[in-house]
Parts: sequence; C-alpha cells; structure tokens
Amino acid sequence: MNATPANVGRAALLRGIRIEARNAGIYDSLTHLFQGYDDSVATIFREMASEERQHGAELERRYGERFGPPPSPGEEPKEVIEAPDLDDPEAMIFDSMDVEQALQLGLRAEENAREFYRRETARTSDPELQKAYRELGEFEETHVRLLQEKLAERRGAKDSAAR
Amino acid sequence: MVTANPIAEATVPTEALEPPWRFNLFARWPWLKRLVRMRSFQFLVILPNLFMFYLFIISALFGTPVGNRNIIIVFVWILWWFMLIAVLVPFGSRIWCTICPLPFFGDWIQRRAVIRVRTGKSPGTENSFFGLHKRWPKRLSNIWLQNFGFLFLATFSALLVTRPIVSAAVFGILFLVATVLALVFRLRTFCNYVCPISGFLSLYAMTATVELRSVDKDECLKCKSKACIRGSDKGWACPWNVYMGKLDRNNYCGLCFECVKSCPNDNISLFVRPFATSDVVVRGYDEVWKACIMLVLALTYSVMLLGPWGRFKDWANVSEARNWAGFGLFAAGQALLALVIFPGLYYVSIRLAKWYARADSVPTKELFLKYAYMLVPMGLLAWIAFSVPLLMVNGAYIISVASDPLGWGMNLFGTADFPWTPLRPHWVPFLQVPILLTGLYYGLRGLHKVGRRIFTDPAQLHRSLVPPAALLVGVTLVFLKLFIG
Ligand code: SF4
Ligand code: SF4
Ligand code: SF4
Repeated sequence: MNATPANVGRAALLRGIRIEARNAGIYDSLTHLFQGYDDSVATIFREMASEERQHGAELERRYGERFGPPPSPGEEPKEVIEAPDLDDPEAMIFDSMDVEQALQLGLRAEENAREFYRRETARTSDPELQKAYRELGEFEETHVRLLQEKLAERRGAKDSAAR
Repeated sequence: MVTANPIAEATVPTEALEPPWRFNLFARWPWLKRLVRMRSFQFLVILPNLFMFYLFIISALFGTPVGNRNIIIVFVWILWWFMLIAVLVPFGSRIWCTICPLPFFGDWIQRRAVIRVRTGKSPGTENSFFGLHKRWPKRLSNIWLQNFGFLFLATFSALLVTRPIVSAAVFGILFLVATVLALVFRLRTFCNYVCPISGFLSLYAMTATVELRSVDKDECLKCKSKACIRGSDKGWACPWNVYMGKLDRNNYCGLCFECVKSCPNDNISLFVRPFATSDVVVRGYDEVWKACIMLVLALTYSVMLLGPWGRFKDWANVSEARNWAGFGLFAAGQALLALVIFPGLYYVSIRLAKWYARADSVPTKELFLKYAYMLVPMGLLAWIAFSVPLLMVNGAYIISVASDPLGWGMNLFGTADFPWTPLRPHWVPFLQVPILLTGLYYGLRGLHKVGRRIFTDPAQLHRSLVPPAALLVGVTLVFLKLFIG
C-alpha cells in the first residue's frame, strides 16, 4: 500500500477496528471468567464488550463508506494499548474484585487507549491520519466518560447506603 | 513512595529495585516443556504417590502400631517432611502439589477424566466440569482455615508422629474432604482454602528458586482467550484460579502445568531464579499470621523435641503421659504464642519502626504486611534447621522400614535389621547454626528490599528497619540458644 493520505487513513481506521475487536474479545473473556462467579462484575464486562463492538461497527461503517468492505482480519494489532486485564492474578482466589474495581479497570484501559490515539494524533503530520486518530480518540473519550459516570453513580450509591 | 524529606539529596538507587535475574528452563531444555505438556504428565507423577498412599493406609490399619517400625510414620514424618521442607519447597516451589495424591479423586470426579480434557461451558471456564461447581464463600476466601487447621494438627503432632492409626485417620479425612469439596465447589477449593499443608507451602514457596510465569506480559495483555485461567481444548482451566498473565508470586500456583498446555501463545515457562529474592509481597493478615504461626511452631517443636526439657515433651505427648492438664497448658501456651504474643511483638516492632523513622504518612497496615516478609525465609530456614537432626538421628529407620514396611518381619531388600545408628549427631549444631544464620541473612535482606519499595530516603529506610531487624535477631538468638545451648 502506498503512503498516500487515503491509504494512511484507511490503515488507521483498520487499526482502530482491530483494536476495538481485540478489546471486545478480552472483555468477553473477562465476562465469561466472572460469569457464575460474580455476575455483577460479569455484567460490567459484558456491557463493555458490547460498547467496544458498537464502536468497532461504527468504525467499520465509516471504513465501508470510504473504502468499501474492510478486509477480513489478518494479524492481531501489534501495538500494545493497555487492554482491560485483571490487575490481581489472585483476584479469583481471594474474591478481591468487585464491581467498582472492574469499572476502574475498564476506565484505565480506555484512558490508555485515548492517550494512545492522542499521542498518535500529535505525532503524525498527515492530516487524514490525524483526523482518523482524533476520531478514534473521541470514541475512547466517550468510553472514559461513560465509565466515569458509572463509577460516580456507584460511589454515590455506596455513600448514601453508608449514611 | 514516602520520604520524610522529599528533596533529600540521597535516594535509594533505582537499580537496586530491579527484578532479579531469571533463567528460562523451557527455552534451555525444550524436552522439559514437552514433558509437562503431555496430557498424561500429572497422572503419571501422581500414580506412584497414590500407590504409596494406599500402602501407608494399609500399613496403618494392619501393620505394627509401633511408630518407628511402621512405614507411614517413618516415611511421612521423617523422610517426606524433611524432603518437603528442605528440598522440595526451597528448590521446587509447590512441586509437591504437582504430585500430591490428596486431590486426585476430586479432580477425577470433577473432570470425569484422568487424562483428557473436556471442553464445555462450566461457569468461568471453557471446560466441562461435573459437580455443583459452587463458589467458595467470600468470607472464607483466605488462608485462615489453613492457619487454624495447621495449628490444630501441630498441637496433636506428638500423636500424629507416633501413632500410625492417627496419621492414617488424618490423611483419610483430608482425602475425603478434598473429594467431597470437589463435588460441591469449583476447581481446587480444597487446596486453595482448606488443605492445612497448603498454607505453609504457599508461604515458603515464595522463597523457591523456581517460578512458573508468563514469558511476555504484553502478550497476555493482548491475549483474548485467557486460556491459562479459563482453560481450552488443550488444558483444564487453572485449578487454582490463578491468572498467569499477571502472576508475580509462587504462593497459589500448584504447578499442575495445565496452563502450559492451554496457553495458545506458548507464553508460559519455568524459570530458575535466586533464592528468597523475587516474591517479597505478603498480601494479607492471614499470610502474616501464617508466617508467625510457622515460626512459633518451629520454636516450640525445637523446645519439645530437641531441647533438654522432658517435661514439655510429656505435656505434648498426652497419649503416653496422660497428663491432660499439662497438655492443656501446652496447647493453650502454643496457641497464645503463635496467635497473640509473637504477632503482638511483631506489631510493636512495626509501631516502633514507624515512630523511629518518623514515617507518619506510611499506614501501619502497609508496614505490618510488607515487613512481615522477613519472617518467611527466617521461618523456612528455622524449620530446616529443626528438621536436620530429625533426619540425622532417625534416618536409619528409613532403611530398615523400607524392607519391612508393616513391621511384620519381612525383609524385602535385606535391610530390615539395619540398626538404629544416628548419623554424626555431634555435627548437628555445626549444621544448624549456619542454616539459621542463612535464614537471618535472607530475612534481613528481604526486609531491606521491601523497605526500599516504601522509603526513598535511605536514612528513613534504615531507621524503619531497626526494630523489626532487632526482633529477627532476637528470634535467631532464641533458636541458637535452643540448638547449641
Ligand atoms: S494444596 Fe494440599 S491437597 Fe492440594 S495439592 Fe497441595 S498438598 Fe495436596
Ligand atoms: S493464555 Fe497465555 S498469553 Fe493468554 S493470558 Fe494466559 S499466559 Fe498470557
Ligand atoms: S497457574 Fe494454575 S494452571 Fe498454571 S501451573 Fe499454576 S496452578 Fe496450574
């Protein structure tokens, strides 16, 4: 592929699609892991997986509008954007993961993704690519806000319960 | 990170905080990886132990009741115990759990297979398990039960190590409980929360010179399947519920190698590492108390079995002396020392550390948990120092009992009449002292290492180390007094 602005933009969109798909897959795994163990935590991860899929679908739609149907996924994205992951390897043994921690974990992952796209936006001088990265960053920003709201709701509920 | 003086010129050098070296054994010896990846691996290594276990039970039921003539007593409490504490744990982490027969039937029932893997959708896994697969109660999701269980068994140890039938009853009960729990609760609930052996294995496995870890943590971050903990068509979901992607200490990995089989990215390996250097995080009060209990038990056992105080031995050995008041005193004293007095002394040392280092901003809990690591290598080496004379003095029984396991007068290998000859008993103190001092060295070293993660100001760091280090030196002196008089 030549490094024309259109091609670079296409590559960026594809990258975004795959990162969203990968993260959705990871959230799926975490959902299954907690299913039947702690369903409230599993629900959070399920919601996050579905969010990621929606965003992936949105990116695919945009890709389709500009470049036709996206090619079937080949390689996994190489860059390590910190994906959602269990912080505590013994969380399942010591039952130390609650909903709030699951939300925090998701929040951190989304913040990392947002920072990644912001960094890429600043780094590239290609306007097409910049635009694509900015949009991807905005997607992640919506995730971040959503999770922050959920966390705030949860903490609010906890505070009022404590009172 | 906390400093008394944030603009202090002197800071602890960061290179000191770098993780220690490790050497990838699977990369060096691919045959080893092939071996543990064999589906039949664990079954094949458990099988001989299962046979031994059967033999032990038979010999307890039908063999001689004389302890030092019965294989269950001699092989379990002299040979196995010594091997476990002095060889398997320090050099093999929880390798005993790889070959332990206790959970065998539970695993078998849960998996409805001895070797092959069943895929399916039992909650949280990609495998199909039989049984209720329930979650263990949150309140019991810790190692307190193991702490109390071990202390309880230790209190009756004089019975346990002299009466074959009592040993058989205890192992039989553990076997049964492990199997029943496997029917009701998910995975290795028994090993995680109940097995009394597990508590000290987990604690002292921290010091081991091997670790099973993911090779590249970034790979785990990207990994969608998390097959190491969820299982796959190649391997069962981690029976211990450990997530290999972030695993950073040996405590709760039972070295079953299922994750090595199931990881689709070939991202798990066995590493060699320096002794008592890598896993230095004590994470809960249950673990701190475990460390205290083990150290105190090493002390009381040394008093009971090695010291010149026959009266204590009589108190503990209630079945022979029949002195129930003495036994009550012994049991209560031991429990008080292990659960209250020694942890209390340790707590006082932590309060003093905070005061002396002027570390008001460091939570006492944090210091209490983190500095407790010093008790881990110290405790392990104290146990080894205690166990050395047991083997040297009583090792000859192993040779004679091997030929006559039930005490029936057999002579299978021609060694049944091997005389009881203590092996170089005058060497004992010369072995015990360096072992104990090694424990002190690693305890202090660990303390320093943990402290460096909390304090950046060297002066504050060193002040904070003084009281707990003094406690550790005090403990060593008490042991030395016991060992060399
Ligand atoms: S935890 Fe206990 S029962 Fe489980 S494998 Fe280890 S020693 Fe055996
Ligand atoms: S399956 Fe392998 S790569 Fe995936 S998280 Fe587990 S150890 Fe890492
Ligand atoms: S992490 Fe789990 S599956 Fe892997 S060896 Fe340890 S106990 Fe077994």
